[in-house]
Amino acid sequence: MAQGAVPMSDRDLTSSASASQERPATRAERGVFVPFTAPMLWGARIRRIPGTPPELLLPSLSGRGTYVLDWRSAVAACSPTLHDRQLWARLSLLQHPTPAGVRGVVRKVALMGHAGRPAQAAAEAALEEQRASAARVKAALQARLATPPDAAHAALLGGLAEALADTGVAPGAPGPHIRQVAALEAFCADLSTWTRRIPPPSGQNAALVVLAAARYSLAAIRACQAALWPPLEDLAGLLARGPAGLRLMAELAERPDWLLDGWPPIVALWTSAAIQERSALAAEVAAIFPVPAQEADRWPGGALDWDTVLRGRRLLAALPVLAGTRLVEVAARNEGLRAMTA
Amino acid sequence: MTEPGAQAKGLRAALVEAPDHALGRVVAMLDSLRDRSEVDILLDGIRPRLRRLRPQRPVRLSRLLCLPLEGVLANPATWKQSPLLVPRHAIRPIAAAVAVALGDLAAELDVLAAGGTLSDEALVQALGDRLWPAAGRATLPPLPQGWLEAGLPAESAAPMLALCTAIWRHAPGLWAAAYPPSREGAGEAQIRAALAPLAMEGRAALLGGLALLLRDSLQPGVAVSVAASLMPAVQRTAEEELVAALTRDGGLVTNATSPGEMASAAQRLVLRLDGLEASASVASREGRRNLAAALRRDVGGACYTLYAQALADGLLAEAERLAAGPPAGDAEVVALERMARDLRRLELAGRRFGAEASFDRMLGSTVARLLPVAARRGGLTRVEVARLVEMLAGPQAALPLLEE
Repeated sequence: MAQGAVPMSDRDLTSSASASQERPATRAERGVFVPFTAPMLWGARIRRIPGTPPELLLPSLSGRGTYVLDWRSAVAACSPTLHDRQLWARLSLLQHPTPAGVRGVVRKVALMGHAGRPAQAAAEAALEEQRASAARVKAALQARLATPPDAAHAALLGGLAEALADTGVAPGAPGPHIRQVAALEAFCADLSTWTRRIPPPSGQNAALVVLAAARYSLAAIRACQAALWPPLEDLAGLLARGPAGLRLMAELAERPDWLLDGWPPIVALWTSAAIQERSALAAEVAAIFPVPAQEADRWPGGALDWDTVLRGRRLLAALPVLAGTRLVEVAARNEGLRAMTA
Repeated sequence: MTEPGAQAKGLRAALVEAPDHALGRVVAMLDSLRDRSEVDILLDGIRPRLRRLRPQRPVRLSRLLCLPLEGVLANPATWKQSPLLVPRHAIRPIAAAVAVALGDLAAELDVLAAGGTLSDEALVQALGDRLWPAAGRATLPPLPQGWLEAGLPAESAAPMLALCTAIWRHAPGLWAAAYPPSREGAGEAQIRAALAPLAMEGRAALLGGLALLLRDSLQPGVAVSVAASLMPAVQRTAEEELVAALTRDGGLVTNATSPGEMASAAQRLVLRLDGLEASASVASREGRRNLAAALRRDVGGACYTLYAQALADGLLAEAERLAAGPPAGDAEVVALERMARDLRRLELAGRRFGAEASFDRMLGSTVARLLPVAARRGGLTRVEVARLVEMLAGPQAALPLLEE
């Protein structure tokens, strides 16, 4: 690993002790998935502890622990692509990286053409969809009020519409996120069918670990989404709380986003992979699947047995180091995912 | 389907010349024919390409039975009644006899295979694990129905059936060693576990198993050394088979017509040559060293030649054409980038065979030609030209284009 890279923890990884040490306490410590295209940066996250420079978190190929790097070390060790360099230059300006904030930067970089024409077109479409969704959400919220809002409430309503643009305002009026949640659900079903069909050594253990993680994440996402709707039923009351009401909804809307963070590229990768690639892919995904911070245990549907999942991951074989023409193929693959997950 | 000689020859030639993208469709069409008796013979000339391209071919009982036998299957025209080989026109009567002998199991596996394709390695292994040992233990008629009608001599049935059943009995382990799920390929222990029971069955079964491993194994040298250690009498034949297999691989590289095709074939050969000499006995080390040296020279030369030609006549010419015109369309840019990535793969694989300095020179002059293209306000944006340079020569070479 690069100079300057330090493992997050040097505990005995072969013990059956609690795996909770692998789970950062807060969202800020866990960081946000960044869709780098360089093969050696695949699965990396950005985090920024207040008052410090941004850090890059890189899952180890063994699925045991995470490396914490500064960007200079990442450049020296991981050969970031031009796209990755552009992305990092802009991401490093974020004071509090969140999935939505990172997504916005990722789309901007894609719009500049750094991830190729298909990703550029996908980013344009995603931005347009988000704008349309925000407008729909605003109209739906206004329709819930008996009288037109005054200027202060109108401003709050605009903020709410922005916060809820991805999730929507009700189960019957969902935002673009619902597609990603449905895709994660389909991924779970497909993985489940596949693990039942294949003979034991063909990556089945890895697939079972991934399946458990995906199911846990899905359950928690659904619970957090469901928790969004009740406060909106008394919209007038919510607006009466002023900025505190807006902060409450922004916080609630952010939770499913954090829980989903990192899954869409995995789902897209699995869906687009040739069937003969799946065993190797299951092993690859097992090393990088996202794990929520411990604070998510206190969110609706959050008290799940992640320790067991992480212990299962530690028992898997380490991934091979990529080399030769495979590096070119994986870079192209990663870039292809950008068009599927804008 | 019965084609007169000249027509069949024409069809065979057309298949050989068909481009990669068309081959999958043609094979799918042939696979869908009800009577496939002539299809296997038609496909003989393109089997190495089929293995590389892996078109979606439906799983059928007879095809599943053939998979572990691939190392011993021979073109009817070249079959010389060797006890080590099974001609392809014997497949139908043998498969029919197995289907009858297995009864309900054959019907059940046919149902389970419905809709599946040979690309689904997990499905193939799961079905094969049930089919092959059962076929190996089945009581088959001494002369399967349709044997003589297929033009096969009666006396060839017994040794051929013995060879097939011996391989089938141990096929699950053999297949797992030949096509393991991990990208690194099977190690020596797995290869030994696959070949040891075949050695107990006799020389023909061992060589048949070895022939399968030699087709695609990433460690063909290890496979030959293991086979020779299990039965020293096969050493010479095994080394000859190794030479033939790697020479065929070399042919796949040198005969490739596109950079992408050549890159894939060359990378495969790079992996198969790795450790070739290290795994050889003292007696065979010299021969393997000479073989590797000859392949590196020929294949390296072919890689560089096609690389240089495709770079100059293909990529650079197309980039300059697009840059001189109106804003390029998405499809044009995507195609150009695919070409650049294929060339990069070819260069990386080609370097492993030598000619590093030539590749370096060619890359340097290419980047120098692309720099003015980026300066033009034409059909390609500066970012797109920078991406091309990155794809060909890495991000470091492209950085100056974005810094200006």
